[in-house]
Amino acid sequence: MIASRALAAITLAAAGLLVTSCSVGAGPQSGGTEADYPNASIEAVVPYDAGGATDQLARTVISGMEPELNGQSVVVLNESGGAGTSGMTSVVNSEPNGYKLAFIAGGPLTVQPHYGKTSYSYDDVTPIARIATSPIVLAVRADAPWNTIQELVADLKKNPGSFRYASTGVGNPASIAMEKFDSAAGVDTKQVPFKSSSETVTALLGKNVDGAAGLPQGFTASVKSGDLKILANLGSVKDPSYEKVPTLKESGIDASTDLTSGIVGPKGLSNEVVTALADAVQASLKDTKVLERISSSGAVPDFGTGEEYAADIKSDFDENGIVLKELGLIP
Amino acid sequence: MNDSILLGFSVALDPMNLLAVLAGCLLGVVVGVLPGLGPITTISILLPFTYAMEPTTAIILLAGIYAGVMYGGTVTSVLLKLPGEAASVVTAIDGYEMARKGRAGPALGISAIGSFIGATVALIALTFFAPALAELAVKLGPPEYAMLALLGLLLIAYLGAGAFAKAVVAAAIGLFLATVGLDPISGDARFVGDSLQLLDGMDVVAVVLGLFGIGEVLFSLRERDSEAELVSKKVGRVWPTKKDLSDSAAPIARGSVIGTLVGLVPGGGGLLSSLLSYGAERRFAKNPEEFGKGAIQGVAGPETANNASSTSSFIPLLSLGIPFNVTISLLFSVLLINGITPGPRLVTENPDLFWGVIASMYLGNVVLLILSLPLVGLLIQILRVDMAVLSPFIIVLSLVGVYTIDNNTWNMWVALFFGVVGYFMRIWGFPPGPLVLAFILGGLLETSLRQSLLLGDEGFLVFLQRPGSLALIAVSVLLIGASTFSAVRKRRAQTGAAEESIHVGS
Repeated sequence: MIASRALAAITLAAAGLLVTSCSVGAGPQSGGTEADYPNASIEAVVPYDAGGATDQLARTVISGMEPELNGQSVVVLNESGGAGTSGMTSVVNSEPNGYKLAFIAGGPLTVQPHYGKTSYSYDDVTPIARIATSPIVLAVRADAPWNTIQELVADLKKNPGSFRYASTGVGNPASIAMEKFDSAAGVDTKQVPFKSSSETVTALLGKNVDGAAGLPQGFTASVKSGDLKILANLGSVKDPSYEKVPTLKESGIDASTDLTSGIVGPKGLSNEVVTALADAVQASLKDTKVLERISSSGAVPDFGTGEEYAADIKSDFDENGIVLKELGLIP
Repeated sequence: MNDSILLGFSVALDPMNLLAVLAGCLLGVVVGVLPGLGPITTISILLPFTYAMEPTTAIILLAGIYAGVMYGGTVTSVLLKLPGEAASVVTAIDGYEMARKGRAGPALGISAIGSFIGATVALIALTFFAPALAELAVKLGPPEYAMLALLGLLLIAYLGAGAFAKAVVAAAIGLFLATVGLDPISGDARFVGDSLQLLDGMDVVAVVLGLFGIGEVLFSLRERDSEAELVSKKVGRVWPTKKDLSDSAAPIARGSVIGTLVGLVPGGGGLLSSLLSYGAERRFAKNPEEFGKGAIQGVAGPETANNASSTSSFIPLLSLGIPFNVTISLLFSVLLINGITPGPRLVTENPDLFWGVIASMYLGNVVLLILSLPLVGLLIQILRVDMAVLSPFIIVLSLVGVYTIDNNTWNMWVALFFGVVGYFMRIWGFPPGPLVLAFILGGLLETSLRQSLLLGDEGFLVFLQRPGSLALIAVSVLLIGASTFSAVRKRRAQTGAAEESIHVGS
C-alpha cells in the first residue's frame, strides 16, 4: 500500500512535469532590436477551430511568408471560442513586439465589439495586411425559376415574403449581406439560420428553403454536380469559378458585402515590424502555389497595406453597426 | 457500390490508417479489460489528441477502440465476474459460471466468434443501408429533425438504466446546459453573464471528459479493492466443442439481429442490446433452468449483440448526422472539429472518409478476432496495474487534452467542474449518460424546432403538414401511451397484490 502511494506520487509528479514542459513555448529573445526582427518564432493566433476556412487560409499564406522572415517559423495557434473574440482578446492584450499576431476574418473586430461584451474595440489593434477578399453569394437550386437576381426581385415584388434563405447564423456576414440586399432592392426575404454552410446546402437541396447565402466555397461541390446555381454575387470581387455571375452593383442594386481576411497585431506595433510582415505577406501572395490554394477555396487573393486594411475594418465596422441595429440585435 | 468499397479499402490500407486500426483495436481491448474504464472514458481522454490527425484517421482510431473495448470487456467478465465495461455485465453471469466449471476457454472463444459475426452482420447493414438512408435523409428538413430529437429524448429517458425519475432529472439538466450560449436563431446571449467563453456554449468534449473521464476516475478511487479472484490462470482450449457451436448458432443469429436493430435506436447501446439478447435467449432456450449456471447461450447471444449494436450505431451518425449514444456523440464532435458536418451529404462530400471508416471497421473486426484470443493470458496481467497509479495519469492526461481544444485554460475548469458533478451524480445514482445525450440532442431539438417555425406560415401546424414529422409524432405518442398504460397496469397489479397480502395478513 505504501509502495503504491509512493508510486502514485511519482506518477503525479511526472505527469505534472509533462504539463509544465508543454506550456514553455518559444518566446522572443531578449535584447533583440527591431532592426533584426524577427529573431524568434512568431505565434500566429487563429481565433477559430483548426481546419476551418480562415485556418486554412492562414496556414497557406504562412507557408509562403516563412522564407521571408529570416528563416524564423510562424507557429499557428488555434485559440477558438467566443465567436473569435477569445483569441482576439489574447492578441490585443499581448506585448506589441511582433511575436504574437492574429489571422482573422472580419467578425471578431467588425461584428463582436458591437455587442459590448469584448474588452477591446475595432481600433485597439495594429492592422498589418489584408490577405484576401471573398464575396458573399446567393445560391438557389439549379431548377429554380429565376436565372438572374432581377427575376427574383420582380418575383418578390409580386409575392412579398415568399423567399426563405438559409444563412450561417444571425449577424454573420451572410445574413448581413442579405439584409443589405433587401433594403437596397426594396424586397423582403426571410432568414432561416443554420449552424454551418454544409447544413445550409442540405436544407436547400432538400427543398426546405428557397436559397442559401454564404461564402462561395460552401457551394462549389454542389454547383459542379449541377444541383445548385449561383444566382447573385452579393460582394464586389470575382473568382474564375463564378466570374460570369454579375455582382449586385452590376445588376443595378446598390449593395455589396465582402468578407476580408488579414493580419493584425496588438496596438502600438512599430512601423519596422509592420513593414517586415506586410512585405512577407506580399511575397507570399506572389507564390503560385499559395495563389492556387487560395483561389481553390473561392476567395480572391487581395493584398492590401496596413493602412488599406485599417480602412476596410473601419468601414465594415460602421456598416455592420447599422445592419445589426436594423436587425434589432443591438440597441 | 463496388467502386465505393474499393475506395474505402484503398483509404483503410493507407499505412497511417492501418496503424490507427491496429492501435485502436489493441488499446480498446486493453481498456476493455480494465474495470471502470469504458469506451466513453477512453475516447473522451484521447479525443483532444486526435485533433492533429486527419479526420479519417481519427475516426478510424476511435472506432477501433470502440470495437476493441467490446472484446476486452468479456475477458474479465468471464474470468473474474468483473465486467470490464457495462455491455459485458450479463456475460459475467453465465460466462463466470462456465469458467468455474473449467470452461473459460470455450466461453471466451464463443464470445470472440459471436462478436465477429455480430459485427459483420451490422457492418453489412451499414454498408448497404447507410448510403440509402442518407439519400432519403437529404429530404428530411428541420421539422423531421426536431421530431427525431424529441423521440430520441423520450427513448433515452424510457430505455435508460436505473431509476426513470433520476434519468429524467439528468436529461433536464442536459437540456438546460444546451441553452447556454448564443441563441441559435436570434443570436441573443443566454445565461452567459459577462463571460465571453460561455458565448459559444459549453464544449461537449470538456463536459463529457469531466463527467465520464474525471468523474469515473474519482468514483473508482472511492471503491475498495475488489475481492474478485481469478478462477484459473489457465484459460485452456479456446475453440468451442461441436456441441457448443451448435448450441450457440441460433443465439448468435438472434444476437446479430437484435444488436443491429438496437444500435439504430436513440439511447440504445451495448448494455441494452446485451440485456435484450439475454432475455430473448432465456425465453427461447430449451434449457432455461441452466441459465445462470453456465449456459453457453447466455454468453454467445449477448456478446454477439453488443458488438453488433456498437457497429450499427454508426448508421445514424454517418447517414443522418445524429449521434444516438454517448460514444457516437464523441465521434460526432471529432468530425465537427475537423470542419466536417456529419449529415446526409457526408457520403457524397467526403466519400473517402465515409467508405474509409467502413472498410477499416471490416479490417478491425478481423484484427480483433485474430488478436484477442492469443492475448488473453497477457491481458489478465493488465489487471495488476494499480488504480492509484493509473488515476493521476488519467486525470492529468484529460486536463492536458482538454487544454488543447482551444489552447485555453477555460475548458480545463469546465472539465474539472463536471468531474466533480459526475462524481456526485454517481454517488447519488443519477446516470450521466442521459445528461450528455440531452445536452447534444437539446441543441438539435431547439435549433430545428425554431427553424421549423420559421419555415411554415402557420406556426406549429408545420409539424402536422409534413408526412415525415407526422409519422414521428405518431410514434412518440404511441410510445408515451404504451408506457403510461403499462405503468398504470403495473401499479394496479401492485396495489392489488398489496391489498391481497393485507387481507391474508389479517
